[in-house]
Amino acid sequence: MAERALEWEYEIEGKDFRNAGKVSSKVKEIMKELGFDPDFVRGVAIASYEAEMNVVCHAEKGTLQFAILPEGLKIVVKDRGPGIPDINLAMQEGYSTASLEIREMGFGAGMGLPNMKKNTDELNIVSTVGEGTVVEMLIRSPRFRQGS
Amino acid sequence: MMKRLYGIISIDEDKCQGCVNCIMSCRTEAIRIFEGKARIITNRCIYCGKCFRDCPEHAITSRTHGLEDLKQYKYTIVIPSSTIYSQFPGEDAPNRILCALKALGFDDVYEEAVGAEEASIATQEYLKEYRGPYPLISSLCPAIIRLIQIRFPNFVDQINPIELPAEIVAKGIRKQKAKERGVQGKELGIFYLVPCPAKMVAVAKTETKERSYIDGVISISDIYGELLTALREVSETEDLQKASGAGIGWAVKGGEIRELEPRRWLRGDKESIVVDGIKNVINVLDEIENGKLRNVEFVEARACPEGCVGGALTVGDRYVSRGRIRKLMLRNKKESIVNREEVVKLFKEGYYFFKKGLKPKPFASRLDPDPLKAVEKMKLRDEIHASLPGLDCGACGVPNCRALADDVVQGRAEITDCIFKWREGVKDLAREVMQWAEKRPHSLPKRGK
Repeated sequence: MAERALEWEYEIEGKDFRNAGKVSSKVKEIMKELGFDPDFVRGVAIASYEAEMNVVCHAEKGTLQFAILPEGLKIVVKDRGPGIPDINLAMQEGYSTASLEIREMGFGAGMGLPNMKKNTDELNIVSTVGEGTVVEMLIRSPRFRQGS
Repeated sequence: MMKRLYGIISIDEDKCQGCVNCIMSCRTEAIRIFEGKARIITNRCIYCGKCFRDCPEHAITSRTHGLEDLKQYKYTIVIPSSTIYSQFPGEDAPNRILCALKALGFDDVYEEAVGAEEASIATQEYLKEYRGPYPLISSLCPAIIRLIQIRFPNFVDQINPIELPAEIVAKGIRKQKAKERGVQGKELGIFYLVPCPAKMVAVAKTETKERSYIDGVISISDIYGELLTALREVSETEDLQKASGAGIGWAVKGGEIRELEPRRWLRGDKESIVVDGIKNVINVLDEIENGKLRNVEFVEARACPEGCVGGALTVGDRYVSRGRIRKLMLRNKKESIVNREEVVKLFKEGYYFFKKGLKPKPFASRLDPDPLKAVEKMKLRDEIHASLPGLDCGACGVPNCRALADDVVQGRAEITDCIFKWREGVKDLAREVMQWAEKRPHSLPKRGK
């Protein structure tokens, strides 16, 4: 895997709930085609879905970069949006700043960041209030499917 | 007559016109047109039978046993799929249909619906102790089981490990009735009357035990005519209907979950989903896999629209059929012969479980077993895909441009199979020929002089 880096970049539109989840779905398809272990793929898909949904729910717009690097899989999600004032608070399960209308749609349960953390080896968040957020996730030692 | 066989599926190549209807209708992209005829890629096929219906020439069918196969056995029993009750009008029809079926030459009739009732109780018991992973996925549609094996391999362990209702019935017959009647193992022939090719394969090539309890499979459409005649003549002398509406209801979508909802076998704080049609099932499973659909407890997924009444080997209109089954389900007051305590006892002994676990059979996704090669192929595939016209016309014999790019990368097709690419090639060649034609040896005088 180490020879060349592979990268994909996708745009995410804020408040576009109709297309929400399409980007992480593409990440999942790429991983399946490259032969990663199905359970491993599921974990990565969930992490990237959460990150994508955060952009859809909270930000104006953003991008998701997905890269296969020698040190592992890297997902970077950048957005232009309100930012996160207190990251430690946001990391707590059940904490959410999502609006009532977003919660009524079944999102904003306050599990986004905790789920990202659960499914990745490294999670770094840099956020500036009023400007936006960069979420960086690294998943080391990707597993490939065994056998044919 | 030229027939090509793909497991139980047969394509009549005299009838096949090589049109693109089947390749376009197949949801797992398992069909290609090669040398003017449809060919099936069997390890992609889920035997749903959708192409049987969508082929305008009726060239695609399945091979089944027929009534002549009854001769091989001393004593024969038929297990009709509950779908059979939907194929003829009349609410009082069930027992009459069973009598007519018996009159076709079987020694006895045992309803699949009784097995469904047992399977339902077994599933209820299983749900009591089940603590995830969620959702649990119904095991009643073999086409869906296969779809999960090839396309959603990480859900294989979430398939409800309770046997098919027909197998439960057949197992019961082998266990008890055979002794009562004094027929030895091989003298007894158990036939299953099915609404679809998927159930046929599930029995013929069972993956959940060493060997099926069923000996032969006959399709509803194959004996429909004979049954219709028998129905006219039969006298209802026996009471053969033993199942209640609960089991009969399994023939339609929602029939299974309906029996799980009362008395809170399902926890109720989670969602339960009934989904029919392969495309819809793929969407739902995709969304669950992506984490978009959450908190789902149970999924009843059916390959055929409306459930088994929409099976490719049925005769009646699926919507009319659904209505008939619903009537039976809601109005039929017949008490079931299934004894709950007995079933619970057997469940605890492990009687209803798969004897072998289902295995993942991923096919649709991976480009190459070697990750590095997979990366190379993906790049090449995406380049080829981008260069194709994107019409998804199917003229190349492959369902869409992306699939053609896949096939080219895998060495199964050539880029010139695309008529637009081929035309470009011809155009380039023509231009080159013109350039050559313009060239003249220097030894000759210039033109016009």
